[in-house]
Amino acid sequence: MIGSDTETAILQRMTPPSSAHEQLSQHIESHLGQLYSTALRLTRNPHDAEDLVADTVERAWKGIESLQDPACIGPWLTRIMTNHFISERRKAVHRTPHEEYIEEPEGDEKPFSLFEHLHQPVLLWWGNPELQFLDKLLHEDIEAALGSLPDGFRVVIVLADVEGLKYREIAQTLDLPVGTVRSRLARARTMMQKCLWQHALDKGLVEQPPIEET
Amino acid sequence: MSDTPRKLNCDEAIRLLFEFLDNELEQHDHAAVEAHLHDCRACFSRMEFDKRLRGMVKGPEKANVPETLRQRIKKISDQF
Repeated sequence: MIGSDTETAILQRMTPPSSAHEQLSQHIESHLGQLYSTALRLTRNPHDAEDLVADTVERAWKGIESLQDPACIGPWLTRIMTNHFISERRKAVHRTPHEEYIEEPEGDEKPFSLFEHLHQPVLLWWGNPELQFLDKLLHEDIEAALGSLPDGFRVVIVLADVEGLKYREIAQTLDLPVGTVRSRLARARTMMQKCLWQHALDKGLVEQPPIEET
Repeated sequence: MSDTPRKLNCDEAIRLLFEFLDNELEQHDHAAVEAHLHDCRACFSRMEFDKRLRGMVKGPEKANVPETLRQRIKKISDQF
């Protein structure tokens, strides 16, 4: 057969390798719960989360030719989902310039540690007040704190703590320098701990004497 | 060069704690934090607290997928 190698190459370009197709199909089926869970964390409501997962899957199928390594389907889907979420959020807040969307609100974040606030010599506390505090926290409390973060900060927490990505992978996903990921993650965690502390005070989960502000 | 990790004080160890828990420190810094945590009960407690809090943020591995979403995904996937 004349030019069979060429024909094969053309066919390979036209038709994605079946293994990639099969692997994507299997991955979606077996990881749908995880995709939906991540989408819920990002969007904070079930309706938007469904849309985000559906859009992600559709984009993945349309772009399967760009998947170079089928073994990397998980991170690839995460990247598609995250970028689509950010893109949609930017459209939704189109009045806000890019930097304002991503960056934390103005103001220098003071260092804050939830542990230090709990780890006070309070006479009535016996045992381990820090861990007792965590025992009182509900999933909803954590979700509320996560939801209070600006989108750009919530994204890095979700990618690091929910998806378990390394800084380098987060940087690639968000197209940011690694140093920015590092500092944004630290600030996001600080903000989240502050929010949890305030939330605990509001709900009466802690009875803590006020910390002296310096 | 000595294999003994450099000594950190509490402030230095705490400053590196997030990256330590993320497993993102250079090996020598990671070893230094580890050595400090071994010797310092207060910092060890803080590390345990932050680690557990992080586990709570991670939450359940999977959410219950609504049937409507399953059907949407099947419909999309069937097109390709």
